[in-house]
Amino acid sequence: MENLVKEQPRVVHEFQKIISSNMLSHAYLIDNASSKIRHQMAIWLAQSQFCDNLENGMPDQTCQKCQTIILGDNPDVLEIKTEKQSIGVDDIKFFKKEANMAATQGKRRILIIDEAEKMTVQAANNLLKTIEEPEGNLMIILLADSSKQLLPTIQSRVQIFHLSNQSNEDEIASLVELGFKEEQALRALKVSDIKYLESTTGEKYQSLLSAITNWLKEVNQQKINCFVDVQTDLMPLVENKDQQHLVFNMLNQIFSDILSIRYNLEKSTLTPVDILEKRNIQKIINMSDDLFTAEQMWKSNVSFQAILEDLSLKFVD
Amino acid sequence: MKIAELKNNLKQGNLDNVYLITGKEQVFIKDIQKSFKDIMSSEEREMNFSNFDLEEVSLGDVINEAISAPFFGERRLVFAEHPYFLTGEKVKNVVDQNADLLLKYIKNPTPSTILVIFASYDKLDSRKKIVKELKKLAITVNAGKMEGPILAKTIKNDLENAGYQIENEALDLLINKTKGNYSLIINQLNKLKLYSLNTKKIDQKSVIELVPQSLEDNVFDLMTEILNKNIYKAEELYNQFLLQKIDPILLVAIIISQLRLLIQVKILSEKGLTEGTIAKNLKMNPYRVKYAYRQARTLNRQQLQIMYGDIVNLDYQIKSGQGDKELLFDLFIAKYA
Repeated sequence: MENLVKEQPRVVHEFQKIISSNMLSHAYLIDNASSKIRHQMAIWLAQSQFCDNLENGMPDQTCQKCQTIILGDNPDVLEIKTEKQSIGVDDIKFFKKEANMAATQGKRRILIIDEAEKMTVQAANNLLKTIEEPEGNLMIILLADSSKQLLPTIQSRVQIFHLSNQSNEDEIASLVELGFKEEQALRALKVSDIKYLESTTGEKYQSLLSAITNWLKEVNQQKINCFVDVQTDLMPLVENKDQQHLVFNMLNQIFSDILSIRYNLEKSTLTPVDILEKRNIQKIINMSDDLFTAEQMWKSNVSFQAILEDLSLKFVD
Repeated sequence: MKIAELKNNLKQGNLDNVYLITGKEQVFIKDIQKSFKDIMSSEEREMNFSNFDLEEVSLGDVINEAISAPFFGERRLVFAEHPYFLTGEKVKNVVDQNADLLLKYIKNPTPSTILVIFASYDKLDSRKKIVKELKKLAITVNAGKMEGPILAKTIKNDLENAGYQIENEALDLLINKTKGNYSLIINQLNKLKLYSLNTKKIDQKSVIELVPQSLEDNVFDLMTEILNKNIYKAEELYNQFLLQKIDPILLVAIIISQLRLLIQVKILSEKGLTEGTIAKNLKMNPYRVKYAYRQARTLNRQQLQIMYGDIVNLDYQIKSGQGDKELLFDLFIAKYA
């Protein structure tokens, strides 16, 4: 938390000015960086509304009110967080009802929606009404990987702050603790969010990368055996939803790397060689489209194994 | 430890203080429970035996019982069932348990108490401290499914002891229809033995006639009818499922898993692998593979692969609310007309 000012000086400075001049809006969208940093930013913003020792728009983060917010004990700071694949309209309705009650600790209530990109269309539309006509003194803070993942109608009605994407020292340290080498951790953070990386270990991450690479090599050779590889080589390494998410992140990065290699763009992140060299560019683009659809299917709770097997059949068409 | 060894130890009075029984095979679990109860007289049991369901009773109560001295007897026997906190699964509407209480107890158990924990789950979460310690400190007995050859041998021995014989094809079919569930097999054998009372020989015909088809087998029939373009028959089977209130989502899941195995078996057998090697590669019950191997022979891999793509897409359509699930499944069948 202390590193926030050091990690995100531009956004913190902008918010300081807004807070000092009492010009805070009622709805913000914070994107980029990692889920951890986005969350820290939202907490910092919430603290600024309750801190007893606010100075130049900066909460001290040590007073009792700041501490209760960090611990999640302030009844006026509500957070929507879900382990599910989506945030439904019922979740939004429930929290809106809560948020519209009178503040108990300070002058306003704050609703933080983590992973806002998980909102279903109905949920987002329901929230839109509140953003357009906020009731009482409510401030909504949406956190997302990328603002583009949210409905255009929401994007146009909130103030968007893009955080800086430089890797965070704390995150690298936490991955090193999980057995990642420093260089590997740096690369991994370019591929995926810390939340998903922390669900694995350095060794497991490497095994997963090898298994995915081998699977794609079979695809490149047009070997239908890649269908069987999903069960025998990939599934034993994937134990939970976070690791499944990580697999999609890695696959997306590999496709991005292949395009970089083909067009001599920036240095690739996960694969130093073009592992799909037998496929022409049109086929690569089609495969990327299939991968995008696969991820949508996964978000609708279709079985992860079935999705990868279906991809195998499409890729070896 | 094996069940036979446990029973032997209990008979001879070689008793430990904490036992962990893993696996879900009800026949074995009941047998183990009986063996434990038999170490006490019925009078002793009345005073000193208790059985707790950890989804409903707190660990504190169980430990209190375990640390109590026996009443008019030399030992206390405590059964604890459904220790959901040993798994990684999230269970709703259960008592929150403090696993540290159990951890503390197993490190220093009461000498006069035998605590038996029945963890009837597919898998325990071996990352949890309590699971690691239990495996280290308790006597672990596996009451799980018997696999392939051992299961077949056990059934044959059971039948021989009762003076019966069973044809190999009949045995394969019986194991398949019951999905290798030993408890179910024993139930079905009672029927089959009565039916073959005169000949003392159980053949394939009697298994076909007397052992009901599992849901999976019925779904396989539906899938075959669709692939063979027998749409009227397929619709008839589908409507029977709907009458039985079987959710199309469940049908889709079963078809996905069956098609997966058929495609895998097709691919690997085309590479020249034998049934046994395929089962080992896929880490699967050899009987399931044997059965799939037989079924796959008459089917075309290309056709199976197309259907796999279609059924995964159907799953997506249903789960993303693109239409009424019963109608979407109907359209899936119609596509093959």
